[in-house]
Amino acid sequence: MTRNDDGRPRLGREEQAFVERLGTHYAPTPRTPAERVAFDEALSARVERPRRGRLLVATAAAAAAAALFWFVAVPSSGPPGNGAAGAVAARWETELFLSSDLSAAAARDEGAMLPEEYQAIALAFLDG
Amino acid sequence: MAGATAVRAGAGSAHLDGRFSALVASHRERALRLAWRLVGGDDDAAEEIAQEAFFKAYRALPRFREDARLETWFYRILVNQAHRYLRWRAVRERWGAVFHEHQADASAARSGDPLLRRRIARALAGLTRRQREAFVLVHLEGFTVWETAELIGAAEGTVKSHLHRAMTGLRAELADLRDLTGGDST
Repeated sequence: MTRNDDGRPRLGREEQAFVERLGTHYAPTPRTPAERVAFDEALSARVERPRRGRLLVATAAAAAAAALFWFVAVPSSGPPGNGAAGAVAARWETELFLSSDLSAAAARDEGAMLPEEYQAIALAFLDG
Repeated sequence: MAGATAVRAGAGSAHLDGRFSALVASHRERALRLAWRLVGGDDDAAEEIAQEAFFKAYRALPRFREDARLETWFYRILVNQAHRYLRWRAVRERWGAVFHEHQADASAARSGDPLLRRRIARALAGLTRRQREAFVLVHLEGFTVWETAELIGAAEGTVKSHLHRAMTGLRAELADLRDLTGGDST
């Protein structure tokens, strides 16, 4: 067995015939078009699967970030020009959210804590 | 492979997806046949190995550095995958006879001469891993010696040595095959 210029070994006639017979008898049945389609579909499904997982994680992370933003940022953004009042209101709302026992104390001290324009809102919440 | 082309987003990714789809379309049959021959004629195993090799190629394609031909790179993945499968199967065989029953069923359902096919598979299984890979890649799949050296990670001289020993071993094991004519196997 020597090597051809094209990088393939040169076989004697008998060896060549032997290899050809092996190749003929030792080969899978060619795939039908339906089997080819099934193969491609299975591969596509595999390729898609990790992508769906990544999308799910990204969506969950985005939802968590949005919820955090809403909880932290939205209450502190009061009416324009009332930055300090908005901050006080936000703190008060947060305390209300964290403990319902604060409701009574808040009702007693609301005059001291809240600016006028928020007292109506607070009263509506506490009395309603 | 139309489904895989829409997976990655962006222009560069579309190029990669297109490249991958072309790879699958043009090498699906050869990949399945090579895997089938490397694992001893098992249809299900060949399908599993080819799927896994294409999937790994898809994931690694963005990191492919073009320092080898794409096809050579892919078939190296496939040959490694086939080897991994055979190791796993050897472990499984040690713990039970599941594989033997499965293979016998698969062969019986196929067309052609299942007995002769099993004999050839057994003769190939009797070779060392490198001899078997070299013989299948060069003589049955038509890869060149230097391509095979790339695929199995060996020097060209080593591949030629494997080929010579494989040929000697197979001709001794399948001596009667030399006398066969056409599709007869008796």
